[in-house]
Amino acid sequence: MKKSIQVLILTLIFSTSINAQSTERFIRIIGNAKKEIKADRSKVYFSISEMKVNNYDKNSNDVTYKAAYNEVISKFSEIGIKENDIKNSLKNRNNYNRLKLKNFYIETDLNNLEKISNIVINGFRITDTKYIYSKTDSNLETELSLKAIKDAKRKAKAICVGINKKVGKILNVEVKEAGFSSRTKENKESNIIQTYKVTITFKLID
Amino acid sequence: MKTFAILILLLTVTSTNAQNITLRVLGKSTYVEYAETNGIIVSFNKNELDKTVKLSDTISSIGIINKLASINESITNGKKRFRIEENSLDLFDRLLMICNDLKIKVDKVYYKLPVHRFEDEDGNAILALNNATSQAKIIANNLKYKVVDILNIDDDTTYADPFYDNIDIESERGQLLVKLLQLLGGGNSLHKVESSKPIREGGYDIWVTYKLRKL
Repeated sequence: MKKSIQVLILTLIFSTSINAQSTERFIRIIGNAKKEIKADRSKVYFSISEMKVNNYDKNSNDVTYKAAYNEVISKFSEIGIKENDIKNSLKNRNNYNRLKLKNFYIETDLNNLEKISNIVINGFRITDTKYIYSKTDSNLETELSLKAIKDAKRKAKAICVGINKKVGKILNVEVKEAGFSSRTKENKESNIIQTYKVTITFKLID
Repeated sequence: MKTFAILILLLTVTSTNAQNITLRVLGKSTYVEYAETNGIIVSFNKNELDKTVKLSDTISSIGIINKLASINESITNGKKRFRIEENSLDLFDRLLMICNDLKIKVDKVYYKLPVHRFEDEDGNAILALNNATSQAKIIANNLKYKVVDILNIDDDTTYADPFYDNIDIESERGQLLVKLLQLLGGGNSLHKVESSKPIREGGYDIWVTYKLRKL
C-alpha cells in the first residue's frame, strides 16, 4: 500500500513538472545592431586589347596589343601603379571576339580610382570595380554585440511596461547572426552595413 | 495520515491546474516607411564635362541647394557620374526637365528612404503584442475561457511561417534547406536607403503564450 502511494506521488510530481515546462515565464527578444563600414581599397578589373581601324571613324588607327599594353603601363606608372601590381584575371571572354584581348586586375587605394577612370587609351577598358574591406576592426564585433544586447533590453522593457510586467535576469543568450571573419571581404559597394543579431531570453516577472 | 494529506493536496493542485489551459498566438503588426527625398544619377562623357557646370548653375538658380555629388562606384572609362537629391517634388520635376533640355543622360531615378531605426521596432512589437492579445481574447471567449495572464513572449518567429510546418528542421536535410532559405533571404532591403519604390513595407511578428481559465 505504502509503495503504491509513493508511486502515485511520484507520478503526480512528474506530471506537474511537465506542465510547468509549457508554462515557463520568459520573454525572448531579438536584439539588433548595425554599423556602416567603409572600404579601404579597391580592385579594378580591366581589359587590354588590340584595336582594328574603324571604317566609320576617320581618326581611328590600328593599335597592336603590345602598344596598348605599354601605354596602359606608362599611364599606370604616372599614378604610382607598377607593372608588378597588375595581375591576370580569369574572366570569360566572348568567343566571337577575334581581337587579341587579355583581362587583368589591380588592387589599389581608393584615391586612385578617379585617376584610373580618367585614363583614356584605345584598347583599354575598365570592366568591373570591387571594393575591399581588409581592415577588420577587432573591437567592432564587441561593439555591435553590446549594442545588440542593449537593443534587446530596451525592447523587452518597452514591451513589459505595456503589460505591467518586469524584465528579470538573463536566462539565455544566443548569437543569431554575426558574419565576422578574418577573411578579406569584397563587395560591389564602397560602403556596407555590418549587422549583428542576438536572441536574449529574460525571466518574465509579475 | 501525513501521506494521505499530501496526496489530497497534490490532487487539488492538479485539478485546479486542469482548469487552466495555455494558448499560443502569433501577433502581427505592419508598418510603412515613406521616402523623404527624390534623387537622380546622371552621367557625362569626359568630352561633355562642361555640362556639369551648366547643370550645377541652372539647378542652383531654381533653388536646389544640394550640389552634384560625384560617384566613384562602378567606374567606367571616360564617364563621370553624379548624384543630385531634392526633397521638393516641384523642384525635382524641374530638375528632370532641365536634364532633358541640356540633353544630360539620367541613368537612374530613385527614392531615398529613411534609415531604419531599431528603436522604432519597440512600437511595432507592442502593436504585435496587442494584436496577439485581441486574437487570444476572441479565441478564449469562444472556448468559454478567460485570458488571465501572459506566460511568455517570444520575438524569435523564424519558423512561424506555415512553410516550415512541412520541414523537419532537426534533420540534416531540413537544416540544409533552412540555410538555403537564409541565404536567399540575404538580400534584405531593410537597410537599403535607395529604392525604386517610394515606400518600405515591413512587418513585426511575435509569439505570445497566454494562460486561460475556465469561465
